[in-house]
Amino acid sequence: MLEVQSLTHHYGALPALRGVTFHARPGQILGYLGPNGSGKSTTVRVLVGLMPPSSGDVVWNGRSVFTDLVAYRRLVGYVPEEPHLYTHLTAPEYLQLLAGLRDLDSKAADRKIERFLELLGLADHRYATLATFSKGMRQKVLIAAALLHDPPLIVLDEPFSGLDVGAALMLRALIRQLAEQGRTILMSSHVIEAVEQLCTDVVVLSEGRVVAHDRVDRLRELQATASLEHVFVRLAIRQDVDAIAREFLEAVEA
Amino acid sequence: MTKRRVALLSDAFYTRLFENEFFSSPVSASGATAWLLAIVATPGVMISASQLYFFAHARTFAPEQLQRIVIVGQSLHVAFAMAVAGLLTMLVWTSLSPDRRDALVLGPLPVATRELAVARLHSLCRFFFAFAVALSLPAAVIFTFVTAGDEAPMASVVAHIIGHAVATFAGAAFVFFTLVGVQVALAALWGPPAVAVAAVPLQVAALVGLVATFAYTPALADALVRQTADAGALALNPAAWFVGLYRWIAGSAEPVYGELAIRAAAATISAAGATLLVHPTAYARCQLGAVLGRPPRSSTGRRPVSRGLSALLGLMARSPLERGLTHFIVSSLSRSHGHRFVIGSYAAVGLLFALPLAGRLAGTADAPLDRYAWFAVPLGMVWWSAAGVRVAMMLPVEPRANWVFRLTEPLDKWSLLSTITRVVSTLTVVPIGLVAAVGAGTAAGPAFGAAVGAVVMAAGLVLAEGLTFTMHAVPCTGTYRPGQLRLRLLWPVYGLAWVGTSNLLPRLAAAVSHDAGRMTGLVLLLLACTWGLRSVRRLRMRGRGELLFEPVETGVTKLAIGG
Repeated sequence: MLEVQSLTHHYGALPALRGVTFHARPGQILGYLGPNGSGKSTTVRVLVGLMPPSSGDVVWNGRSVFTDLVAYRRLVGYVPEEPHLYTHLTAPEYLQLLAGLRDLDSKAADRKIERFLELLGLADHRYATLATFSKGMRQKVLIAAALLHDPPLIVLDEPFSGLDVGAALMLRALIRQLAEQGRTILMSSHVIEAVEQLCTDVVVLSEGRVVAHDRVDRLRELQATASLEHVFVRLAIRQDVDAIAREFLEAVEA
Repeated sequence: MTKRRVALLSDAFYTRLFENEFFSSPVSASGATAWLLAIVATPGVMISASQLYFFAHARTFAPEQLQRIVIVGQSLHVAFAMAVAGLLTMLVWTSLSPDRRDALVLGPLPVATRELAVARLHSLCRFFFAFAVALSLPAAVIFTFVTAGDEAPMASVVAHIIGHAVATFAGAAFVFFTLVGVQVALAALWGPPAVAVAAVPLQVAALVGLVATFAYTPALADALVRQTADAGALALNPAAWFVGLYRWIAGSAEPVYGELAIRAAAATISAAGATLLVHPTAYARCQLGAVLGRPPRSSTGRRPVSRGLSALLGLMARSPLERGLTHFIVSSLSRSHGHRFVIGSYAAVGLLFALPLAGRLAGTADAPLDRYAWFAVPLGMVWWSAAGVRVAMMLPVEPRANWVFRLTEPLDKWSLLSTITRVVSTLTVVPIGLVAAVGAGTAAGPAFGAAVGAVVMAAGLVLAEGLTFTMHAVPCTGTYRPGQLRLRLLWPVYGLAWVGTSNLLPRLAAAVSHDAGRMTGLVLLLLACTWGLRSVRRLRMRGRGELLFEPVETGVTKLAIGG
């Protein structure tokens, strides 16, 4: 089980996380929602071991992950928000590099990579460098890279970004099946419909604080609304969006 | 730490060294390495081979001068190795520390920061070793055989080859590890922002140092031959240390060479050792910095150079298009490492050519050669810096963002070209002309200062027009590779323009500088050339229909159905 305990982080004097606490059980798909600047990306970076928090802890199966960060990273599959890849490599070369760095057996990894590329529709592009890939194709490579080592904890940051409808539907089904097999999945996204359909539980973050952490259906009941979007708007959006849109339109026409 | 992981990472980092503005995006590491090795190895070999008859002649007809000539040659090879090492380090400057992509791709992997640091160092050392061997070994063999003559014993030839190879290799290593070491130390102490802040001053200092090393080479050789220079002067000159190492390994018995060799060895080992020692700490700090990203800059009070220049040039712009283009060009040239490097390199070459005449600027400009120097130095600097800005404008700054210009292609090409010419003039011609005018005015009176300023600026305007004559696209948005057909065809024109600007024109200007009427005529002639070039370009554009594009109203597509 993944437990995030009183996570706090400051960028200089600017607080990004203020005592964020939540947990995710095996088999659970936990949605992680929040407006821009709410601290989602900072939490994800801490969770995947990219940076230490200012205070607080991340516990995996009863042990602080910071006691052996390298060992913890072996257990995490991560799809980052931005498609950072080594674009001079081809997709198989990139995945082979990651397999090597994860100490996976070369032959088994090659077979797995070949299968991944076929299933993701990238087999015809195996000799093209990633520089020539579209955003959706790069996203597929990142998904393949995150699952290459069969991790028990999967952190997905905007996993549907750039994917076409078919690929997005496939990914939804895949995430569901990964969870059914007992993996712990945390999904951060701005696409509330996807979170609503996929996730059993959600954490809503606002200004670095957890403002809700519960089952999706229970949150809808508590807020007496029909959709998660309305729940999110009530809990995390503190602006009059219609008024801002009107002012923006006036600025466009000025 | 596993060897497999370090090897994999080292390969990845090595390839990433070539991912910067200087290499077209699909370049392979092996291709780029071969290209660099050929460029690095060729000059030393060619210079050595071309001196075959010179050394043979000296051995026969001026044996008393031979030792001095050989030491000058050795000093030049050492200075060349150090300069190339400096330039190559600057070429891969932005790739020396981990960037955001490295941090985000490799950070979540089960790889310890120490492994990443070791792999990065390994790739750096591979890069250095490849070019240092190419730089030192072929030239060592050729230069030794060219200078040795028929009667030289084989043991001496071998000692000279080893001396040459070791000294040039060590000299290159000293420069490479010193530059990397400074960067690493800054990163370890104050983090990546300090590296970014120090990049430009450090690169300028390195360029000036390398130019000075070259310029001082003959004097250094004289000091070494006569050994009259006080020990302090030689002891403080890094080039002298490595020439000393060369001579000591080659078997020269003078104690001064032994002392210099010890300094060379100590300096190289210290620079490399300190870099290797501090690198892991710096790497860890840079990696964390890359994950966190740079804090957003405030909109005012930062980037003073580009903001100031943009504001100045914006005052001269006549339309929003010109203001926008001016801001884009100035920001691209001043904020991109690659563009600054190109402009700096060209300015350094100009400085190198100016140095032999620089001493002439100290007097009162009474002698004809002094007056020639007052025109030749600024005109040469104008030529090289304007050429540098022109070449930098052909380097793309962010090719993927070019869709902005494809969607909003400036319709008024004449405004575009006027803006480009104005930027080139304001960045190069005006400041150099003003400095030259003030300097000449102080040295030889206001009339001479005005003459120098007027000629430099008028000739600079001709150059700015001429160098941008064939431009037709927004600067910094093209995909330029050095050695394209146009450059290969036009190099005689550029060569002629350089000789004309930095040699023939200064002679003419110096000759007529006493006569106000003739001087005015010369300036007017140059201005007429500028006007002529502009007119020809306008006619050319009008002939091609490029002067002003009218937007085409596409309307609704109609299908012709039936007859």
